[in-house]
Amino acid sequence: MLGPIHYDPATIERACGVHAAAYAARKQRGGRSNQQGSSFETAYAAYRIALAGYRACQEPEAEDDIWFQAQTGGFIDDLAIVTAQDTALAQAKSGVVSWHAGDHPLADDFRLQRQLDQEAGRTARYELVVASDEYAGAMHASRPDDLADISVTAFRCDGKNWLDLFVAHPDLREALDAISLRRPQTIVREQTFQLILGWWLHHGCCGHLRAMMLELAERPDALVRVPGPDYALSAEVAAALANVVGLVWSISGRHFAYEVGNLKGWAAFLCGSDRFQRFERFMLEEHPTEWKRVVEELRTESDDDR
Amino acid sequence: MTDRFTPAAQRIGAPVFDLLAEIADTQTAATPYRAAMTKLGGLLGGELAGRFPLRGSTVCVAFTVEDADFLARGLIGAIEAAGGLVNLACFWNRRDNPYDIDWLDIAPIVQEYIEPLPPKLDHLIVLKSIISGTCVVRTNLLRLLDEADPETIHIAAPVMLEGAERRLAESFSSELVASFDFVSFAIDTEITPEGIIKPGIGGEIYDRLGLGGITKKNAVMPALVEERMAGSTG
Repeated sequence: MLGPIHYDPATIERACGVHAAAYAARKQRGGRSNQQGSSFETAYAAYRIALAGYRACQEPEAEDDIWFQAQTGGFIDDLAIVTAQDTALAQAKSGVVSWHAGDHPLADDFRLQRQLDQEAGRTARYELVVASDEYAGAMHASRPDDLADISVTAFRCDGKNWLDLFVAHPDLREALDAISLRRPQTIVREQTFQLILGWWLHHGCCGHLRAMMLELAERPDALVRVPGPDYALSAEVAAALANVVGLVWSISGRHFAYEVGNLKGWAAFLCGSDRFQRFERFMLEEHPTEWKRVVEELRTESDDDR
Repeated sequence: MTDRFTPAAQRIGAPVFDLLAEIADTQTAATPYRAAMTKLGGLLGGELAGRFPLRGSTVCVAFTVEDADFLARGLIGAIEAAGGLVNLACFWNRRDNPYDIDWLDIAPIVQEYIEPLPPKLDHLIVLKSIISGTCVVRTNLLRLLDEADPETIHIAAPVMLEGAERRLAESFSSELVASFDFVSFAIDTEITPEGIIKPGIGGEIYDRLGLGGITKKNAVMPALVEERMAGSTG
């Protein structure tokens, strides 16, 4: 699996000079705390992770060996997306933005990053992310000639209202619906996005797509599905479940879903877990036929909750 | 203490004051606590019926598992007595702060019982024993808004924390917020670091009702839901 990237100070100094190296070092000192809340940058990262997760869910052969990272030590460091083929580096700006303003103009940051990648032997693509189509159009039109290869994209997000974000980005909505094991619902979409955001912040704004999918799919809230085969229930347990009056069940990955008329739910534990094995024994030994007994068993997270 | 009561509570007077005092009293046992909650549900339903003509109206009452057999049963009785045609939506939410990030408060629905909603829904009542944060109410409301487009959305609770209306309104579009109607009997201002409102409803609702803790209550099947399922063969 791919792992973290880091531009070391010596390489930065060799590629860009001593002053640029000092500037890069200062840029890294900011960091962020989990408790600071979401921001334009972290929301953009969660958006890109969701899109990559969507591709991994939709196409079994799609690449899921993808590393995401902020704060690489370089000059364009809000988000790095690393695959076996290349690296995409993005700088995200939520407010008014200019190529040339300030002590460290944005254009210079992109130039320095390009020099750095050449020195490090890294093949990279660069992206500027802004908060509106208007800004994106203006920044695209005013790109300096030597930065014509930099893509400028709009991420229409205020960092707070996810429902508006899903409206502004139908691709994100579609991605979250695919990542979740539940049928499309507004609240599930929002909770799935929040889980991705939480995972990103918890892991210090770096991590592997496959690891994220596995970690979120293991949660007991049955929100995120993991690509891969569904758990195979034994014929004996399936037969015992068939005797439960009115119960309809299905398995997605390791999540067990059930329905009885207008009642729908998800087991409080994953298929294959110790707790699920106890549920299987319960079905084989007790042979329940009343849905209520089975549903109560499925909703009991642990023996402490009996 | 008396300034916690809303105009609705002031209109009803002693009966509601006494019930609020009973649930706020940490010494009240589970059985009388349940009875008090049921009566408060009836009074909330009566308040709604007094403010809106309900006869022949389609009404969806949405609530969480812990409130089903008490607060919700009381309210539904009052709505049906006023001629409302009631559908139920019961939710089992699993509260969580993923990764211990305090601003990341989610309440995924892990089980739901939703009766088919009519094409035209006049009233959606989102009922809860107490509203402080808005996570659960918002979750269950968003879930139902995927299924229905109610004329009026009533957010009802015997007790609310000051500012709950504003916090909930902030998380929805102004167009939707225009259809909100809040109904409560007391507004409290004090909340402990553990998130318990004082005097509120006298602590954590699951414990007070004798339903066990926050995960154990999600294995409970309310009698109200069972009755409805039996009545409709599912």
